[in-house]
Amino acid sequence: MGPSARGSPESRLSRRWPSALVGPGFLVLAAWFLYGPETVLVPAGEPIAVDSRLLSIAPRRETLGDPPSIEVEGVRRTCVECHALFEPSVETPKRLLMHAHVRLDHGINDRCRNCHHLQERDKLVLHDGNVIPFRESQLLCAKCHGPTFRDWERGAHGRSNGYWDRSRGQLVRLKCSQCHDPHTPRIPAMDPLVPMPGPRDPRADRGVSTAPHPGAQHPVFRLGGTDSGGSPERMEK
Amino acid sequence: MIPDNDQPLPNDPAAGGKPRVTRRSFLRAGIGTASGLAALAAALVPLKDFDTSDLTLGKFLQRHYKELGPAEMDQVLQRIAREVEQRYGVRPELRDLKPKDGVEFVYALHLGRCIGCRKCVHACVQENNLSRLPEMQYIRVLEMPRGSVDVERANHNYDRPQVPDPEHYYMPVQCHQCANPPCVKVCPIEATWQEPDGVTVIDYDWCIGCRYCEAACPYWARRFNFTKPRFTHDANGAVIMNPNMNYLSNRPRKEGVMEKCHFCLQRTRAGRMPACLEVCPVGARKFGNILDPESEVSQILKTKHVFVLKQELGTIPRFFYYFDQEYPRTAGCLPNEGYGDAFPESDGSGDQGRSGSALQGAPA
Amino acid sequence: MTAYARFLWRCFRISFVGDWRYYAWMLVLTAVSLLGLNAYCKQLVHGLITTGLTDQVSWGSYIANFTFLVGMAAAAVMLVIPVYIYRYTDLHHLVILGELLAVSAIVMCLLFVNVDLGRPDRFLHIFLRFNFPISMLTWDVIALGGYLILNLHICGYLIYCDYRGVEPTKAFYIPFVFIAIVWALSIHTVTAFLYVGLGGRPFWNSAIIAPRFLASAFAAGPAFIILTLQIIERYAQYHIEEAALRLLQNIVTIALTISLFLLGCELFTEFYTDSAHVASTRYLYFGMHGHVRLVPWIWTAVAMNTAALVMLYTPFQRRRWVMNLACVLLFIGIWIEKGMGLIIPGFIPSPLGEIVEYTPTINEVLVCLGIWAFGLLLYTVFVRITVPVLTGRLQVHRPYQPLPGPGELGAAVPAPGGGGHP
Repeated sequence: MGPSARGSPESRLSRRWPSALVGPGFLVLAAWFLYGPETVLVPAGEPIAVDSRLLSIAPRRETLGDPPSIEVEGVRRTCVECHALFEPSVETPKRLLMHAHVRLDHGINDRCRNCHHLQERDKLVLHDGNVIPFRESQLLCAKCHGPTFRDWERGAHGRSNGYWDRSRGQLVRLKCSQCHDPHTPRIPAMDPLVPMPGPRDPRADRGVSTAPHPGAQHPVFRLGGTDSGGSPERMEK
Repeated sequence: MIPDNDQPLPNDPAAGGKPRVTRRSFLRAGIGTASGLAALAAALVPLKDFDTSDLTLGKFLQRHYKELGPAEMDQVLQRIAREVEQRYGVRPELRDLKPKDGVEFVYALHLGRCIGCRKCVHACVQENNLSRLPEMQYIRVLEMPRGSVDVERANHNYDRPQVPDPEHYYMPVQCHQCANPPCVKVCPIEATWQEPDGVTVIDYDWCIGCRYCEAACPYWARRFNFTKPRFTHDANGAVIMNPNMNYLSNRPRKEGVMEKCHFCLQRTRAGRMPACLEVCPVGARKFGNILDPESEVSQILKTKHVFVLKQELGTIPRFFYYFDQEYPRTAGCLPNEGYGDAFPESDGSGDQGRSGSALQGAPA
Repeated sequence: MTAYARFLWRCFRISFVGDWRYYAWMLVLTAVSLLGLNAYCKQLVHGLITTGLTDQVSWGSYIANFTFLVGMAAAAVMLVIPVYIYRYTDLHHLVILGELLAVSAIVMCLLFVNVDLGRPDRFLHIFLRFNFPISMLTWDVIALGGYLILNLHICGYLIYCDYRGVEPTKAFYIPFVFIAIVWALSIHTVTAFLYVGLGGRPFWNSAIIAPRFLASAFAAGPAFIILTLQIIERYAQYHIEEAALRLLQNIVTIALTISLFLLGCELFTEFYTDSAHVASTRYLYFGMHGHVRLVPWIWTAVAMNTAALVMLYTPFQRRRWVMNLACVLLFIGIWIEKGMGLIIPGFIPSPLGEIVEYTPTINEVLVCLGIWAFGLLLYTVFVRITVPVLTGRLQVHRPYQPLPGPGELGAAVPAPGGGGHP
C-alpha cells in the first residue's frame, strides 16, 4: 500500500489525499460528540402539586347533628332554648334576625314551616304532620323527591364512601344534607382543577404546545378558597 | 497486515508475492482506525449518565407475574420495597392482593351529576403515585356539548372560572377494563392481561414499552412513561408518595413502561372504594361487584338507562355511563329558573301563585 | 470451516479497499451512523422524551421508517420472481443484489424497532412469553427474523459458491428462493395487519391497507434497485443489462398505477361517506381546526407520485434520465405517504377526539438518519464484496484483482507489468 514510483503525479495525488482526511474527520466528529451543542430537551422545573385539601374525601357539609344546636355568642344552644321563648311566625319573615346565613332557594318551598315543625323546633315535619328527628332528615327530602330517594336507597344517587365489600368494612352512604344545603340544595359551581400541559406535551418545560384554549397555562397549585363549595357551613351571628 | 502464506492478501501486487506494508501505509491505517475508534467511544459518552440501577441480575431473571410462585413473589416484593425505600425514602407497604372469587368489578358514572371539577383526576394522581413531571393522568374529563356523544366535539382543556357550564355536560374517561380488550390482544409478550375480577393489569417489570397497546386502545386509556417519573416533595424534602402499594397497581413505575387505570386494585381488592369515587363531590361515580345482585352497580345497571362508549367496537367495557335527569344547572342563577313566571320571587305574601293552576298560566 | 473463516476475513479486508469516492462515501456514512448512535445513547439515558412522541401520537418516525423499509425488503423479491418463476436467467446475478438489499433493509427495520422500544433491555421477554398467534407483532417478529435468515442463507450460499468457483447445489437454494417469494409478500402483509386489526383507529381499520402497502412497496423497492444498479454499474464497473432495468421499470409502473388507484379508492370512500371516520383523512389532506402540519407533505407526495406515473407512461420513459427522475420522485413520494401519510394520521385525532400534532425532534431525526446511514453502509459493503466475486475478481486461491482505473486505496499498487493507469 505504499506510494508507487510508477504512475503519474496526478494519480498519486488522487490516491493519497482523501485517506489523510479519515483520521482528522473522525477526530472532529469525536470532538463534536464531546463538546458539541445539546440536542435533547427534557422536562425541567418543579413537579406540579395539587393542594391535598382540595382532594379531601370528607363530606362537603357538616350537618347539624341530633339534637341540633348552633353556636350563639360563643355558647352552644339547642333550638328549644330560644324558640320556647317566643311565638313562631307562621309566615316566613322577610329578614331573619338570627340564622341570617340561611338563604331559602329550594324550588317552590318558600316557608320555614314546610320542613321545620312549628312548635318542636328541633324536629322536622313531614307532609302528613308526622314529626321526625333531624337524623332522619332524608325522609323529609323523600316526601318530594321520591325518585331521587329511591335512587339514593339503591346507591345510584349520592356518594358512598368506604367499602364496597360489606363483609370487610362499612359502606358509608352520605345523607342528603351532607352534600346538599337543605335551604339552597343546588350544588354550587366549583373552580375546576386545570389539567397540566403534561398530558398533552411531556416536555412540560416547553409549555403547552398545541392547546388553543386560553387560560390553560396557569399553575394548578391552589390554596383553599377557590373551591366555593369546600368549606363547611358556618353560622353567622 | 500479517501475510497469509497460501492466501495472498487482496492487495497483493502479484500472486504469491510479499505484501508491501510501508511505514506510511501502516500509520495511515493505524491513525484511521484509532480515530474511528475514538469517534465511536465519543459517540457512546452519553451513556455515562445511564441509570443502571434497573439492570440488576435479579430483575433480568425475574419471571412473568403469572409464573411467580408465592415464595418468589415474596422475594420480588421485598426487593421492590427495598428499592422504593432507597430511591424515594418512603417505606412502602407493598402487597400482591389476589382477586376474590365471585367478584367482577364494574364502574358506573352518572353523567347528569358530573360537574367537571377534575377532583377525580388529581385524587387518582395522588393515590396511585403517578408522575408529576411530566404529569400523567389516567382520567381525562371531556366537556361535551349538549346533544352529542361524539367525542370529536369534546373539549379537553376547558378552564372556566366555574363548572359546570350550562351548555355542556362532563364525561370522564379512564380505562374501561373491557371484557374483550384490544390491548390484551395485541401485546406481544402478554405484559398486560385481564384478571379474573375484570381488571386489565400490567406487569411493569415485564413490559418492553413497544406501545402497541396504546395504539390499540379505542378509549385512549393507556399511558407511557416517556422518561423517569418525578414526584413532589414536602416541606422537609421527603417524597410524597402513597405507601399503600400493590404489585400490579400503584407501585412506582420506571421509564419505558406502560401504565393505566387499574380501578385502584390496592383499595378495591381490599374491599374499599377507588380514590376517584371517594373524592367526587357530587357522588357521580359508582363502583362495585356486578356479581352481587344487591350491589349499587347491579341496581344501576338494572334500573338506569346505561350506555357505553364506542359500543360498536365490541370491546364490552365495564364502565357504564347513565343519565336520568336534565343537565345540571349552575349555582347562582335565579331561583325557580326554568319555571318561567309560574313561581315569582317569594315575598311572603301567602299562597298566591302557588297553586297548580299557576303552572298552566292561569291567574291565581 | 477455516476456508469459510478466511473468506469472511477477506470480505472484511476488501471492504476497506476502494478509491477516494468509496472512502468519501463510507466516511460520510460512518459519521452519520455515529451521530445516530450518539443520539440513541442520549435517548437511552433520558427515555423516549427525547423524541417528539406523546401519549396521543405514540408512534412516529421510527415506526414510519420501519414500515417503509419492510416494504423495501419485500420488494427485493421483485427481482426473484422474474428470474426464478419466469426464467429470465440473464437477470440471475441481479437476484443476489436484490436480496442483499433485502438483508440491509431488514437490519434497518430491526434497528428501527429496537430504538422505538421503551425497554430494549427486556428484549429477551419476547422469547420467554410469546403471545402467538393472537398478537400480530409476534407474527411480525417471526416474519422478519425468518426473512433475514432466509436471505442471508441464499445470498451467503450463492456468493460463497461463486467465490469457490463451484456450481451451487440447487437443493440448497432453489426451495429457499421460492419460500422467500411467499415470505416476502407475507412480511409486508403482516406489517400491514399490525395496523389493520385495530378497531379503535378507523383510519387504519380498512382492508385496503394491506394491498396499498404491497403496491407501494413494489413501486418504491424496484425504483431504489433501479437507481442503485446504475450506481453499481458506474462505480463498480459491473455491467447491468438494459433489459433488467426496463423490466424493473415495468414493474414500477404497474405497481405505482395500482398504488395510486388504491389511494383513489380510499379517498373516495372516506370523503364521499363523510362520516366520523373521515376525521384522520380530513386532517391529513386539509387540516383540522387549524392544525395543518401534514397537509403540505401529503400533497407533495401525491404530486410526486402522480408526476412519476405520468413520466413513466409518456414516450419519454425510454430515456434514462426520465426513468431515474421518476424513480427518485416516487421513492420520496411513497416514503412520505407510508410514513407521514399513514402512521401519523392514524393517531390524529386521538380516540377521544383530541388533536395533538407530531414533529420529530432533532435527536429523533439523527437516530433515523443514523440507521439509514448504517443500512446503506451495510449494503455498500455487501456490494463491495459481491461484485468482485460475481465478476471473478475475488476468488479463492487467487489474490484480489483490483479494478483498472485511478487506483483503489488500499490496493494502490498497479497490476504486475508496471505501467501507469489507463
